[in-house]
Amino acid sequence: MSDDIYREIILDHYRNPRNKGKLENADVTVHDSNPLCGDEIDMHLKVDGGVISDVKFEGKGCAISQASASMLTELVMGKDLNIVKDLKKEDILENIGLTNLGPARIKCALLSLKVLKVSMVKYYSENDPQSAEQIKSESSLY
Amino acid sequence: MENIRKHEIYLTDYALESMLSLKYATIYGPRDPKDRGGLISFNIADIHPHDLATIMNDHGIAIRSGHHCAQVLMQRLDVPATSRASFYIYNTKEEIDRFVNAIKEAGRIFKI
Repeated sequence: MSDDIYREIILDHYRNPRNKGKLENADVTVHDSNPLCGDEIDMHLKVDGGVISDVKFEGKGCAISQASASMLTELVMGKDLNIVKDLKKEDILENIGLTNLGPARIKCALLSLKVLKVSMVKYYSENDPQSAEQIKSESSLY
Repeated sequence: MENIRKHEIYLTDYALESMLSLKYATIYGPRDPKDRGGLISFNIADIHPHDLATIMNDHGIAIRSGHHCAQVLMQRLDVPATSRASFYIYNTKEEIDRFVNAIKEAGRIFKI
């Protein structure tokens, strides 16, 4: 069971996270945590012409939360900011290869998506308030 | 009550002894079981306690993991969280062997 969760790729992203650190001149930064388990994630986004030109995260927490954040930055790097609103729980679980996570650990995997979605809404609110409301209503949390 | 306390000390001592042989285990608190309650707070290398608890759970061992409502102590210890095993009258020496084996299994899974 545990062998299925803690596969090589999860351990690799946990110990050697991609795109980890602060982003100088980020257009938007959002922090959130799961106070019950103590996982923390900060997302920094640089957006150019509607495209995520750079993304970095900072955080601490379990292997699932940190690996999920690392893999999420790889997934959205260079992509249109709009795709964030369509990302769903299932996309994240598929992205990290853990489609059978139990209820106790699924929130670990989804924290970074939550932070990314809030980052997107914050970006639109600050830079394109007219679209912000529509984006907000179209974007389900998961 | 005295007998219960004696049993607690016996189990805690045995668990401490067993864990000290694992070089990747960090144990918090005094070594003498008489100076502590029937429990051990610890960390295993860079395995986050929630990950450790998940693996231990798969092996039928229930531990507590997290901040234990002591975030300030976590900062002081410079750890994200700790794991905690506790022993009482219904626990046995054999269960501590299973507990230690489950830690070893976690070490194998995390390639420590």
